[in-house]
Amino acid sequence: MRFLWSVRPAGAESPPSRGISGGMALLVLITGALVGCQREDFAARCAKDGILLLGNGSDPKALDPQLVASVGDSNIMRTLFEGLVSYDPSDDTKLEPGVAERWESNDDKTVWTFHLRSTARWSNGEPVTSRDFVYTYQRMLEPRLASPYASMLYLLKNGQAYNEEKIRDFSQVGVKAPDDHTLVCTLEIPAAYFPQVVKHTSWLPVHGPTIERFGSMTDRFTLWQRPGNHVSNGPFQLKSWRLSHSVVVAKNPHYWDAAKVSLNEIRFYPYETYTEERAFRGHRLHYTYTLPAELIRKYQTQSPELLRMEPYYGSYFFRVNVTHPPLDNPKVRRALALAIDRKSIVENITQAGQAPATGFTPPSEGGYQPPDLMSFNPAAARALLAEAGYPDGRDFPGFTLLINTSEAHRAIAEALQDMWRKHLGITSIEIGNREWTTFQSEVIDMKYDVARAGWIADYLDPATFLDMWRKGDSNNNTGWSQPDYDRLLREAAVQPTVEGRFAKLREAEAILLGDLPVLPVYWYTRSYLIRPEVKNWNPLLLDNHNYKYIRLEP
Amino acid sequence: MARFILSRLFQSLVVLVGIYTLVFVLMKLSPGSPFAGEKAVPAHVLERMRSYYGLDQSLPVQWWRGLSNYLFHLDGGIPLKKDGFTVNEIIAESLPVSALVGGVGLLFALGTGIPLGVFAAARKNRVGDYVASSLALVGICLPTFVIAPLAIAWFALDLGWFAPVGWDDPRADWILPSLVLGLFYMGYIARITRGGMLEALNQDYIRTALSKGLSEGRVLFVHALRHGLLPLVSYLGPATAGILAGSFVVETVFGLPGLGMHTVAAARDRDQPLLTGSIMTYGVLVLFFNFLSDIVQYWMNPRLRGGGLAASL
Repeated sequence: MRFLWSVRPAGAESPPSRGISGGMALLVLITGALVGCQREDFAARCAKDGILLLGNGSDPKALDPQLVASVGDSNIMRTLFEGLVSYDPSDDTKLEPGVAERWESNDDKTVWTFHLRSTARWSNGEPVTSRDFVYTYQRMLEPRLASPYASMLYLLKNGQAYNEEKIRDFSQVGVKAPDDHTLVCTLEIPAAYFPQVVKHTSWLPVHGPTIERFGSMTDRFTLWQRPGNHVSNGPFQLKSWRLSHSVVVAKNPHYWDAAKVSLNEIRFYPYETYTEERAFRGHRLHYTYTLPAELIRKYQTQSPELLRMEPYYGSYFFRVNVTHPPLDNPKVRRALALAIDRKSIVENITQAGQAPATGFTPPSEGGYQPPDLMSFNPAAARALLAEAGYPDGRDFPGFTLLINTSEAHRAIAEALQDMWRKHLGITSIEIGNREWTTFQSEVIDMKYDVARAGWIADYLDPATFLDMWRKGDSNNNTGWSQPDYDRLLREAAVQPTVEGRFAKLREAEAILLGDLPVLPVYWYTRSYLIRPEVKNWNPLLLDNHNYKYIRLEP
Repeated sequence: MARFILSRLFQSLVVLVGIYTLVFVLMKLSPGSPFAGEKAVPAHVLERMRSYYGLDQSLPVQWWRGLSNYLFHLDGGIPLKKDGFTVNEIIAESLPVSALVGGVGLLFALGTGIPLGVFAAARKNRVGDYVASSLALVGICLPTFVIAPLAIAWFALDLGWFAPVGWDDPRADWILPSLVLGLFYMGYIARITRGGMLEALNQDYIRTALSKGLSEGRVLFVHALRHGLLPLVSYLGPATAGILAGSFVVETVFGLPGLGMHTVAAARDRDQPLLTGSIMTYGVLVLFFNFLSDIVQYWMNPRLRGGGLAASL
């Protein structure tokens, strides 16, 4: 084939330039020439420059720690802000000093005193003081800010009352700054795990003067979140934020421990799962936020060095509406739970190394172990169903298994449907499918029979899994409550020792697993891809990495 | 002409108010709350959020407040699910991306689809026609969500000509998504052109032109094409608006910061201000390009000019 610019002997006839193929070839050639440089390994070049490229699932809702709620948003928050206590790079159970150098509590764990380091600075050079924390916690609890995560601060004495406008005077809330470098938190209940809680995003400090320069304390929407205006106290500061494109943070020279920060820059990309995997293959990311289950096997066989599968502190289960017959009968719920072959689900459907749930709260190494009460026992399940009045599933009224639209959830729901048909003879179960927003409102309004659910812990403590089943908790949504359960949780809170507390919690969890307003299925794992240049990215149960320790070695 | 433009402007305003109202009603009727999350938000916090965004006011008040902001300030307000940007900013940032990808895609579609259609019409019911028509059908039938990952796999991952995702390199990142998006429209354009050309080629004046001894090329491209493209021009009005306003699939697969993605996300999240903003933008584009297509048809079709444009529409 010849082209317009091909060298031709003098006097030769013009080359044919008509036709689509010629034009297309031209276009492809031009574009090929334009972009010839794309072949190089972008991620490798960035690694040399100390720029970490992370997939982060979606756009941040905000860059304000008091307004965000999602896991992805928290990742960005952890680069920009540092709390009183920070994350250990390799062990979730450990406490890493953050803005606070050290802390202590009174004997009954209700008053906690944090001693702030005098070297802590905001990214504009101003010192971080305990007053900043008091300002932040007031802002978080201000009813008019309507922070979605305000309830995390209900641990503070009168925190809930202030948030619910039952008291108006913030000085009655349990947080005080006797001097610039001391913060005293008085709690509503004894909480030995309080230092674990204050690691959470909702406890990260904000810079009051910056917020007030662009609006008031309770404005949800102001320009303070923009690059150039944004002030933070973490190892990194905001460099750019482009919607659906990226959030870029750069090393913060004013950070008190800046010498330890190895990366120059982190870029968070909001790519959707499959897009993100392609980006990784095309050397545009060092790390993917997630990996679709069907691609796990491919990576296991072809490039296992890039794939990681790690336990994640979360529980996949189904909520049961105990106000709807026949699910109001505990024997029915128990029969349903015993007829679930969890091993088969994790081996044949989810396939990412999840652990079949033997309780509700996932176990943590060296920490809380849930009672081992969930098993697969079809014979016992059949007997229970017969006792409940439905021998071999006869006359069982049936119900709807509600899921939010997703192939993965559908596969699990269909497996349950099949297991209940096979082992219990129940043929009248339908699967209801709703898109996410509708699904959530039907669960909250309890317009469901059995509904899919997932719970990822906010902090490393079983309370985050067990508190929600108390009477009236806004995450309960099952209609179930049990005075003994609530009493045991209250008793657990005042136990002087960790062992004593865990024993009480185990007792409570045994009640939950006996009555089963929930049908546990599996404990989460996280599967993701990561390039070998990324160092010190350790498996963490909560997946909350402390980015100042992450290194790139090209 | 001035009367025509004025009446069109007035009609457009009515249509836009209608669109605004329709989105408003549909969003109010759809189940679910923009503030619901996997973790429950306490009821008193939800109430505060609703009042912050003015969702606690009566429906007529909400309707009028949003509408008057559009009418008098061209202001789409603030989105419910993104706390950092206004609706206007989101649209201003994402529409150019979608419009660039869509614009280049449309040029590609026109540049290949029209010749393909003309060629097919000229070779009616012969091998050339079947090949060209099949090609067009392939373009229409193969969904973008199949073509796009394949194109990335070949041209980006295997050949390394482009970045597989993202919007970082202004020289190159629009090329592949534009071609993928254009492929779909190419098929339609080729089929419509073929149909229009076949009708045109049956007209008496074509026979006259041929009998005068004009070359086949001249008859095809000068005499027949002008008439044969009329159906395409009326198709291009809404199609151009659609292609410029962004494709959710193309933007998701290629990871582009375009408007199509925000539109779908806003509908999913029940983010009424953002959804209203992007649908209104789309509406303005549709109205504008329909108007343009009417003007072009008027210019291309002598029969319309005789009776006066306004009368014939």
